[in-house]
Amino acid sequence: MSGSLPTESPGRRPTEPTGPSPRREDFRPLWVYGWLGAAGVGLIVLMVLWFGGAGVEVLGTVGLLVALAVCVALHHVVVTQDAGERAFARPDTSGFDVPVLVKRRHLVVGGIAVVVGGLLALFGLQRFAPRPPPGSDWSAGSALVTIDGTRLQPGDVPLGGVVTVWPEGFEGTERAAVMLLRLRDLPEPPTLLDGVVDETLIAYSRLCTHAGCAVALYRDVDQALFCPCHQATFDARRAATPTAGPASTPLPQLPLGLAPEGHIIATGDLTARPGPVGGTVDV
Amino acid sequence: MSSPIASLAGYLDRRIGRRADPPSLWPTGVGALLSHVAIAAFLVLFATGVLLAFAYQPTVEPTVYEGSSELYDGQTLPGAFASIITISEDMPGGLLLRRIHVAASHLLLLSLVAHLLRVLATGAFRRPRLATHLTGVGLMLVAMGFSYTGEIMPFGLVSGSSLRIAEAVMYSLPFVGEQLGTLVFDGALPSDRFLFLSWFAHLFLLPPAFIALTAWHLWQVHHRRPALEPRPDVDVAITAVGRPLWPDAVARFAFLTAGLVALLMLASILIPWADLELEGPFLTAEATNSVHPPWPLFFLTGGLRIVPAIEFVIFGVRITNVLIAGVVIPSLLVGGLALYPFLERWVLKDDAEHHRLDHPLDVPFRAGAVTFMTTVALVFTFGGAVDVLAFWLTVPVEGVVLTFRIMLITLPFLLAALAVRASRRRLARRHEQVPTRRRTTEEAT
Repeated sequence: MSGSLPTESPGRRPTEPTGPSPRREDFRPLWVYGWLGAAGVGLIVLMVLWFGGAGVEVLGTVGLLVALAVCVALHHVVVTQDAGERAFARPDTSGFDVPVLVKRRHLVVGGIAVVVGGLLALFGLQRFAPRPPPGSDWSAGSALVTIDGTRLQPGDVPLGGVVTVWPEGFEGTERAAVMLLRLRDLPEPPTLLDGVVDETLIAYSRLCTHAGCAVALYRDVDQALFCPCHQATFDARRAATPTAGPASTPLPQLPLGLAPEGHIIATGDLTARPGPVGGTVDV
Repeated sequence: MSSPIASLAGYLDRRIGRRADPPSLWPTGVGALLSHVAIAAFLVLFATGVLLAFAYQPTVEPTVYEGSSELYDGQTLPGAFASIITISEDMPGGLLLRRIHVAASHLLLLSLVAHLLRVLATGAFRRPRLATHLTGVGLMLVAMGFSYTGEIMPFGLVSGSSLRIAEAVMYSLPFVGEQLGTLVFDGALPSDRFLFLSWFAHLFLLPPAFIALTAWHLWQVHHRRPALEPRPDVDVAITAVGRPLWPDAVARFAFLTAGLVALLMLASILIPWADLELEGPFLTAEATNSVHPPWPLFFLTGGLRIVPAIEFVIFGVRITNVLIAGVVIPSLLVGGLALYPFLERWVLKDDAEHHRLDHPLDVPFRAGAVTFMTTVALVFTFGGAVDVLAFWLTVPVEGVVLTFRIMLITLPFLLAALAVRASRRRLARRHEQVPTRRRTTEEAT
């Protein structure tokens, strides 16, 4: 036996040939039926507990025991009743996986049909399907309110504070959400400086220009807005220009002003459409 | 004379068992284990999913939750999230069902990935099994669809962001992207459309697709006879070896399924899978620090995170990070999986039938290509966790992103070169060994 069989790939352990299980005579029906019966009883207990409103730990433990009982029974069946492997000559499979023969004429006609149909579908989609509205719900004069409808005075936002605001009457609408920030330092160009009130109160759209997530985190250390989805970072002092991460377009700014009553209002719409920039250039 | 059970057993034996013609042959071993785990996990998902489907409400309409959850009693929540809380807290056994469903989904995806990797590494995709491989890639895509729609459905804190990211990927398509996105997502939240579409796909489109593809896949495996690892007793290139489906393979499969159910029960007691109570519902005014998709889709979010910010315009088309990372790279990866057999066939000029599985290092080109694809997928996958890595390592996230960018353009080439080298050395060693082996055999005789 010292001369080992020349296998195709030395260094790997070949699969051992198997025959019928030598334990076929050891099969004990009572053992199998006993465990299956125990599993059945366990299943009834599980049902009773289930409809009795037992907790997840109790149900899980009983379910685990039932599954283990079934396991023990089936293991005995598999081990003792294994009839072993059988070997058969492989059938002729040379006809499989050959590409279907098509005539060139059919290929040309089919290709043209697909191209024309696809172009028509794309044209229809582009021409007749709705597009997102160009602006947002903001307009000159709309008051900035919090989610519960409270108007804001400049004094309501402390140093380093961030409040999510909406135009009055549109509370909670996703695309109109805006972050109102109190910066520590004065904003610099290219910020729209006319849209800043109380020297350091500034507002940007809350939707990331990268993939549309809520840019909900403000880092006071470098006065940066940070998106939790893909780590796009925007410089809040300089018109929210992207400084790191995957975004390439600044966040739209909301020009702010003060109403005669003293609360903060918008003096126009956002400087661009909120949300991701998209793959089509607007003409 | 015979009992119905005996006649059923006889019928099964004639159709798929020991007396079937053509013979029914199913192998045992790692490959069989991985595919059986996938099927068993799907059965568990199907059973728990049917029960959960009755209690789930696919709507974002605000509803007042009333029930035994102290945290949410009397609160106004999106309908879908409220129904999830009802399932978890008020429905008997609901939390157990949800935990098992989620744990089994991890098991399904893990076994599919391992199965796919094994098929690629051993060359099981070659003639006559090209079609089997393509249905397998299809199954992988359907499973990813299950993952994404399943994450949207509870409408938890990150669902809104997941939905927006998918919309941004659609928007990034030139000319028709915005129209497509508006049709599918119906503008701003609250809108039921996408939740309804996710629910419809998760319950009524994807399960039939998965079952049909699995049936086709298994029928092909049966019809072509399984590819086998080399073994000393038979030449697997001309002989197929295995056990009949009935009763041997079915008994083994039943035993494995019972074991997996036990494992899932244990996991559901120990680990709070799917407990969304502390995460909370998606509300437009709320935000979170760390937004992650389910792990099978990490490679998508990883791409969006580590591909640099780019924006240039040609012919009215704006090429952005989202287009590259959300459309181009995933298409290349999935296309690479599906088309690799054709590439290898063309490069190696080998169009013959192969029934014997190779060692992963038997073919240098394949060793390099599979290592390359795996490394790209892994760098993107771990790139989906740059924020978590930055937190663990207490370094700025920008540094981690830069490291991943460097790894993305170096590691795949480096590791592929190493794999090719290891493969070549292995082949050289084998050429040296074969004569030695013959000599010892002659000496022995």
